[in-house]
Amino acid sequence: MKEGKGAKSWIVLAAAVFLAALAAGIFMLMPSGSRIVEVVQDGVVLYTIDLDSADDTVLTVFYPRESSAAARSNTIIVQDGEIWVSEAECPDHICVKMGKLRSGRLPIVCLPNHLMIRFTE
Amino acid sequence: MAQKRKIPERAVFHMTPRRLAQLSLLTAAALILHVIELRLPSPVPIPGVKLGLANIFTVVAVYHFSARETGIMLVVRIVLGAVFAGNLSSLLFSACGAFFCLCGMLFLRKILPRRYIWLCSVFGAVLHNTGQTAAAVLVMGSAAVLAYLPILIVTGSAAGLFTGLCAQMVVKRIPGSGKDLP
Repeated sequence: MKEGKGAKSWIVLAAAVFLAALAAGIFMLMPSGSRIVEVVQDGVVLYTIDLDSADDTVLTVFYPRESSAAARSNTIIVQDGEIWVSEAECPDHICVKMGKLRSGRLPIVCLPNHLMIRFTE
Repeated sequence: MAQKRKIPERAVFHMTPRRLAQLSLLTAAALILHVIELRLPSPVPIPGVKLGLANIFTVVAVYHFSARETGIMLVVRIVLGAVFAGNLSSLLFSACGAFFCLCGMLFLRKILPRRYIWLCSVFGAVLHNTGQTAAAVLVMGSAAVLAYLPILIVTGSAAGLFTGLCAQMVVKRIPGSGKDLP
């Protein structure tokens, strides 16, 4: 009986964590008000792009940046005021599957290539 | 003299062939599920989101083996899992997540009886996602990836509930596992 009682408070804690995460998750997914995007690798801002005024371009980012012999690339497309990763030389291609950058707080990330694309203020 | 001789022997980690066979079996089963899961398409295009079927056996091990045995099994499974996936860059994330997860579950198994294995697994999953995200923050050199944590906790809780319920069913069926851990 004692054990059951203890478990109950842990269930309440789990439910609280879940609901808090659900609320925060919805908040994170809300679209951004900003139109300025930065492309970041290893904490270094490589490009800052204003989606409203930017011409359509294709950016290729290598990881690691210094040595290009064994470097893996991500191809980023800026077109019609939107930005997305079209190709990635990495095992999972999650950044490609994430599609266009919409959410204000959730960046497009490529963990294997340390690349991140996000809206900035 | 005889006593003195016994002390270093005790200090050395000793495992009976039976335990070793059981652990190997669970590790192999976990690796098989891991490889099967690699074949399944990822349901959501968010880094870190996965069902984690192999963790059914991690949870089983938490409730069936000692902390040390579970730790050994998890290290072998994670290293071999990354090798089988051909994705060594994910090793850091899974190792970091697994460390958080294991510490949390080994603590919770003392509090939560076997009826609540599913709950222990949910907390394990949440801690796994937390550890993973912490590793991602370090790798990316930016706290912006923290934005993924709430979403990972939501999907992780669901995945942890599923794997936990599976583990609970497995533990019930292991012969000689009627009593809770000492």
